[in-house]
Amino acid sequence: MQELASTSAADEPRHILVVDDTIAARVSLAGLLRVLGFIVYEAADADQALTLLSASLPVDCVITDVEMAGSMNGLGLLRHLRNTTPHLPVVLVTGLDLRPQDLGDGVVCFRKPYRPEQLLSHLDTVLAKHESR
Amino acid sequence: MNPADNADDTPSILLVDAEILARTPIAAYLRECGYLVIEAATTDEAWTLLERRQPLVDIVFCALDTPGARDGFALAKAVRSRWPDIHVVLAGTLQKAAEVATELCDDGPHLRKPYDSQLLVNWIKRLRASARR
Repeated sequence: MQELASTSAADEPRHILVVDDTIAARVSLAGLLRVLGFIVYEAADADQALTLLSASLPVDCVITDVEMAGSMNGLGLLRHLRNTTPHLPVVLVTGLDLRPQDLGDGVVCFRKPYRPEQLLSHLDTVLAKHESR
Repeated sequence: MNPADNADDTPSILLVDAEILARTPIAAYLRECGYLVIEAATTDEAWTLLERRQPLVDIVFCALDTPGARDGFALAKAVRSRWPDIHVVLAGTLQKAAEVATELCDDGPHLRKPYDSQLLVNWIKRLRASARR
């Protein structure tokens, strides 16, 4: 865990929105990120995520599952966010093989089961880019 | 290690509330009080988490109108029957939920409240107003 922590969570805590309709997966990822110093918001579907994003909470990055019930899945949420908040980093996680053209430029998708180190390393990169904008 | 585990005996609260703009601030408040907080958006999610027994839950804090196969009352009854050691508290209104949260903080690991219940209510109202704009 210490090794992971050394690659993440800068001085100012970053705010991550985790969207997943599987509570075990959501709790596990949110718990990992909190241990590493991130401030984590949890949404059980895309609608909850959009409600949270429409309020005045700061979110630096969205990590969303792709296969979700509700009015839109993770790809729908990605498309919506690309239209409304194009600079907000979005990371996808999925059990499916997605084609690059489903994702769009700059969107990285992690195939489950993924190594947390890989996700955290990517988070560092996208958050650094986001901050420098 | 699952970072959501409460292996260090930090008391854990399963917060069950469908309304993300109420659940998120209350969860943040309880985390500031030192609790391990697990968020569930439906009573079904809550039951799934409780049955996994990982992390172990000490307190279930449920909004009465949470959707799912059980309503808040039924979830409370089922939890008390199956896991009598788990303390269950129900809240029917935002004001009551904020009061419950501040009361829990009185007995929480940090023995201090980050702020009083009215400030928590005001924060939730501001988020709701912001989301409606």
